Amino acid sequence: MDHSEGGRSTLEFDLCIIGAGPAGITIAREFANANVRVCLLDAGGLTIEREVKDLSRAEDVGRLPGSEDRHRVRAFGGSSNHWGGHCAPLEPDDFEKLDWIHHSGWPHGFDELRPFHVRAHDVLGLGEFDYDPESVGAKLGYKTFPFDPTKIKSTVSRYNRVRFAPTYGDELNNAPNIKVILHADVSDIQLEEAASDKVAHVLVKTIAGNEFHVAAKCFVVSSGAMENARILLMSNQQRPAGLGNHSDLVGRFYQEHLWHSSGCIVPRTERPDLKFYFNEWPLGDIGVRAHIAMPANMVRELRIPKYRSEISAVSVAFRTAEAIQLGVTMSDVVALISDPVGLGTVLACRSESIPTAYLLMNHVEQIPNPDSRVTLSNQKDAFGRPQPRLNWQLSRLDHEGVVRSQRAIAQEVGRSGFGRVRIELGEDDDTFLQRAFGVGHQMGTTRMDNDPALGVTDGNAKVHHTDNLYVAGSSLFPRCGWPNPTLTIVATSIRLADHLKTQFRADGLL
Amino acid sequence: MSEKSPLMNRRLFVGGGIVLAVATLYMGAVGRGALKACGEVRGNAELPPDVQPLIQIGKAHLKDLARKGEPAMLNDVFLDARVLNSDDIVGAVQRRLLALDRESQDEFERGETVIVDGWVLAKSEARFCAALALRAERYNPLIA
Ligand SMILES: Cc1cc2nc3c(=O)[nH]c(=O)nc-3n(C[C@H](O)[C@H](O)[C@H](O)COP(=O)(O)OP(=O)(O)OC[C@H]3O[C@@H](n4cnc5c(N)ncnc54)[C@H](O)[C@@H]3O)c2cc1C
Repeated sequence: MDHSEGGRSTLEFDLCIIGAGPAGITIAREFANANVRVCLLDAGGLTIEREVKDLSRAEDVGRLPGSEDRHRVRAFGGSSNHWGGHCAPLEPDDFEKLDWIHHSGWPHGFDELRPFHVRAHDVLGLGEFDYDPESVGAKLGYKTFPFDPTKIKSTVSRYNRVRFAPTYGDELNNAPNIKVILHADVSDIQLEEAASDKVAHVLVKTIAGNEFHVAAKCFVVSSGAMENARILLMSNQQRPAGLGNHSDLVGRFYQEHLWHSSGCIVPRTERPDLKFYFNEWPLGDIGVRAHIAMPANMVRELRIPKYRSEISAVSVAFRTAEAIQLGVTMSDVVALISDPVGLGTVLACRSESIPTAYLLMNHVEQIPNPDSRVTLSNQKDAFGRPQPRLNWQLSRLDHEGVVRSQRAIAQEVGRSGFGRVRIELGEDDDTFLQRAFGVGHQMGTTRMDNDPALGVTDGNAKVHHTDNLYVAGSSLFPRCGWPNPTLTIVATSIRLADHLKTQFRADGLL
Repeated sequence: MSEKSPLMNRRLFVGGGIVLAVATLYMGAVGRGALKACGEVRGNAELPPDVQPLIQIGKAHLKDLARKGEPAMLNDVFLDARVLNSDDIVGAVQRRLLALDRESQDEFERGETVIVDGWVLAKSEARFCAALALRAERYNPLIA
């Protein structure tokens, strides 16, 4: 039933979802054709529009200012409109509380999320839930690196660039219980009254200048990690610090995956059988590719954040950006490590073959850092709302983790007789800070913890000190590991949908 | 080990309070004297130009050692240069490379590695290359 109040009309639903990216669309689909009235609001339309995009603009004051702007898409389908489709599930130790990583530990373990990762696989059309590099490699006839798996392990990623808008738009449109409203930008979340924990409605603004309310029994904020924090902070009329910000945690622990080249592996001999690592390869309808990572025992031993590296094969003629200072080239090292039975091999190696190097393109976890945060800027958007202000910061351990991982890789590459490694990382933090950039995986601004003093949301993704306000997406992640986030975003969203179904059942709605 | 052993060289370097640039060390009186005392500069066969890549690594390693002030390791290099004390220099390099293959894997196992210009190498690999660089500098300045 829709009604008007204070000049603004109010649309009434059971469930209001704010943001139609992979998280919001997944939750809405879970309720398709059910006896629950769902409203899915998105600030954008079906295409990217400049006027709408400008509403996402952030004041970017941390490292690499300006880089954030590229990442978010304010349009139906969210960033799935331009994502890479690269998927892998989190690993068991990503959920653990580790004494060398402050603020680590999820409120639930790997096993709890496992069935949801499997269900998320279907949503993302990723085929069989098989992440064993040997088994996937065998299907393609490709080998994996001959390293001791307790020193360097291989991982496998699956790729499917599902665009959520075209893939699931019709299904949502055809579901009689779901109303999708585009160009509906949520500007405020309002409680029944200041003393209440119950959200009554959200205020929606449109670029055409209209405003209306959406009232519901339950609300889910699924607008991406930057906007989730922004919306909670902006909703400060009744609670001056914003919703969920009782412990000054909303917007903190902003994380990205750090992407940078760290050096190269030079094999003793050409290894064409290792091409599983160098490209995405078709497997049925999807792509698969192997990477290398630090196994859990090494992560513990080295006391580092989680580490994965992608590998690109480059010719020896390739020179990395950082100048080789003392003039030792790849040919020199290949000459040293080539089959040393005779000097002739050294000569042949020098003159004939074009040795290949495997460039290490790291994709590593950023550890949670309370100073890395999203706050509200003094600058305003076209609706007069504060822009988000991003102060992205890294920690010393982010740098050290990569340095220690490189050394461990170099050790194993040499020990196994495979070849040698050149590390192209400065010893100092500065070089690293200049070269590591983010890849559009924004995470961690509404961290989950069952203790309200330590989290914005609880283990069910409910905002602490509210009765009916939930968050979905990677802003929930207390730690992110190395896996690209969207498979886990979809998994946690399905888990949240299941939890909401239980609530609705208890209320006699389902 | 006599008073003129590498141990003495180490003392000399440390006692001198400085570690000079490697070329100076080697070509200068102190360095040459020390090497002669070890009997390391007898052979006069020329190194084949194709060991240039190894010499490149060696030169970089020597520069590093000098820059970091590691005279003890420099002495190890001088000791290593003994294997090159042969008229059959190609054979000597071949034999050493063959042995290095096994040694270096063991050294990697034990974590005994050095970083030369970013390259993570077994200590004895880098040392051998450095010895080659010294040898090249002594007998074939054109290569060095
Ligand atoms: C270039 C690029 C490549 C990527 N590649 C990969 C990859 O290969 N693998 C991977 O796992 N991840 C990848 N990602 C990340 C992935 O795209 C995101 O993790 C994912 O899209 C997040 O889903 P989401 O639903 O939480 O948020 P989003 O996709 O950000 O969707 C949020 C939605 O909320 C809407 N919204 C925002 N504010 C409001 C508001 N106030 N009111 C109403 N609606 C609002 C937006 O319009 C948007 O539709 C990539 C990202 C980028 C930028």
